[in-house]
Amino acid sequence: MLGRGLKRKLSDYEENMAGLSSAFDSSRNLPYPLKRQLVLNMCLTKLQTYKMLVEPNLHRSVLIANTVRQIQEEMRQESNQQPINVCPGITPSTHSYTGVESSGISLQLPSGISQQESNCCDLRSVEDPIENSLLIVSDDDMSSAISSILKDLDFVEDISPPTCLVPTGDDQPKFPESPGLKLEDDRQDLKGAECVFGSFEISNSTSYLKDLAIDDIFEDIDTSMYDSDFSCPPLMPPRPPSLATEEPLKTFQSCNSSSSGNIQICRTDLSELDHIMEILVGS
Amino acid sequence: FLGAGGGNDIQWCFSQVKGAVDDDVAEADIISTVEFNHSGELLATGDKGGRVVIFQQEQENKIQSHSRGEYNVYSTFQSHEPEFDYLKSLEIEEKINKIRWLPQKNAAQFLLSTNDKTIKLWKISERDKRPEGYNLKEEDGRYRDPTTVTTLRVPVFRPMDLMVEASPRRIFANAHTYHINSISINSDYETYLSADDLRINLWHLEITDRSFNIVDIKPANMEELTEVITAAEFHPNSCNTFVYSSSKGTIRLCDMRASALCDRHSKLFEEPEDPSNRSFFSEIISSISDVKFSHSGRYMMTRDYLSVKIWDLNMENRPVETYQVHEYLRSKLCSLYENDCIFDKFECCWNGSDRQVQLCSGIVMTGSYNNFFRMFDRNTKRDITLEASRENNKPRTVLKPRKVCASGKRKKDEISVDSLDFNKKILHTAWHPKENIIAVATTNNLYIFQDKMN
Repeated sequence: MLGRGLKRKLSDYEENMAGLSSAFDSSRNLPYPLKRQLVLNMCLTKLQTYKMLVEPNLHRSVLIANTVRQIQEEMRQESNQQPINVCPGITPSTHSYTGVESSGISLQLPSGISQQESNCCDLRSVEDPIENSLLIVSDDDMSSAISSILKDLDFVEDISPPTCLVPTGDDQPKFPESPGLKLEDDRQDLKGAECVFGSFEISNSTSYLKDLAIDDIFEDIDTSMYDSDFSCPPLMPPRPPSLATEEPLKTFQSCNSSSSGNIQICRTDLSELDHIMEILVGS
Repeated sequence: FLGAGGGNDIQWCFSQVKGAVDDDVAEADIISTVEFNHSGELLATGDKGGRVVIFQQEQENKIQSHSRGEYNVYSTFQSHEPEFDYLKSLEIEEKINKIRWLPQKNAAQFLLSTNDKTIKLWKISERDKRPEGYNLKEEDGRYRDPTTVTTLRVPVFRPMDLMVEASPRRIFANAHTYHINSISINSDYETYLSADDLRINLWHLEITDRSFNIVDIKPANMEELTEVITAAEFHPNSCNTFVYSSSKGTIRLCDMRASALCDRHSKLFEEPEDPSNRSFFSEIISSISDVKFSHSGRYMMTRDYLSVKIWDLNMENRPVETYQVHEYLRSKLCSLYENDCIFDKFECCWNGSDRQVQLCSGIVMTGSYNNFFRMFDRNTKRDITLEASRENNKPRTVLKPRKVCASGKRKKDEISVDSLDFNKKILHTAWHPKENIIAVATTNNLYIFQDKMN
């Protein structure tokens, strides 16, 4: 993030946002790019907050992600139209921006162009309070934010494929292609086993992983299986769409109700861990 | 305003209020759904704590005909419990998202209730007699020594205090990966649909171990996801037809005869965007929170954040009517986005017996903020804003219409937009199927209003 200005505590930030959003609503003089930036920041903050939840609200996440994309697209189109200026202080007349706002915009351009812009002029007036409090975010950050949110949402992975009555092309349960997705899946399943990889860093770790207490009971698990090199079975066998309530719960209830149960999970899924290892190591 | 003059306008009066009086709302008591049964005799509510409370209307007192029967508690039961999904390490909320009644076929009543993941069919039955006079058992149930039996008698049923029992008859589970937002019983009364964010499943009421997936909008790559399903309903007369609404403000009508997987809609209802109203929040406020067919099945109503729209099923390119619920909020969208109110899902409902009026019929009702709710009369084109509040509500006194002052000088008795309480939202309302009785749910209270009988 191309941050600038003062670092603020979260509570200050939130208060500021509330003030800013009512400024957005009440003021007609707030320049459009600033309004847009404000909305964008709010969106990204929300997405960031959702990312920390174990189960973010899919509906809201999609709506917010769409808003971000829409703003992103708008800014991209503007940057395509705007000729590359030596100094953004002298803005083309097509855009009725003041000097301050144009400098704000220049930072939002794709990083290649923004480098040029930021190098050549003294950009912002530090005294502008609204400008100061906004976090300027680059294009790439936005895209990656959206992607990672939606990827995380996919951890809620279906196990049940469509029924045999549905002759779609895609009959198989959706085995995630990318290791990133697969990681998310397995991470959910292997909460207990995760502890074995205490030092094994998975990027994009969400808060529920950080909260995991590393139980002593896992320390003496036999890890010799990880050293062997055997092919792994498919992720999950396809299950019939709707089982009776008790059945799957029974299976997993026993797994979690006692520590020995946790070890059960570890053992049965070690082959999948092995597979992850292979992918991550790049073999 | 409705009720301001004579004629056929309904004059709404406070009748009853149910629920805790104090302002401190217990989370579990938050009402999450309200539904009358087909006769209107029973009124069910579901709450965030997973409980269902059913109220029953008293039989009309023929002598005192100044009011219709009151609703009193008939049955209370715990429909759903909080669950833990061990596979995904997720808590499943016990909050009841929807209740739908089955039409009554015998002495017992049946309803479907659902939380985010599991639908249950509940049987509510009365017991007001019990058998007495067994030969081999004592009254307390202990078995008698057979050698002491010297005569035989026939057990008889004797009256007992009424007991209302609720028992789960079917549990429809494990068919939804995402959160269930709707259930709808088919007009064949044998099947029903359940919809989550990305899929719709068709069930048979007798069969719990399988369901058929009839709509699936999940993209192969979740990063491409831009639209979710927000509500779904079966057509009231055509058992092969249903609609589902989306977060982009579209409604798709599907015919199950066309193919097993209804990925292609038969009709797509979408109103082109008004460019003068375009804002950053346009898409968010266009997300449809509820869809309801009219009783005739010729029209359907949708609710988005700021308006209620009536659609003619024969016209896809725009609604036939649009009613602004709280247009004064359009200039506050950023603040409402910031505090998440913009995501509130308001429901809407038709008046009960619109089959009496043949032509363009009906009154529609929906909720708003500050415990206000709104009604729009499609015939007279008049609308009214009323408030559900314990203050100033005396039985058989006509409710005073409320007005929000959008801008400028506030008149007496008007409320300015800035003093609206956005924590007091009316999301769920229901209209008695046959009479002018409405149930309006505030956060944790249920209000019942009826029209003034002369």
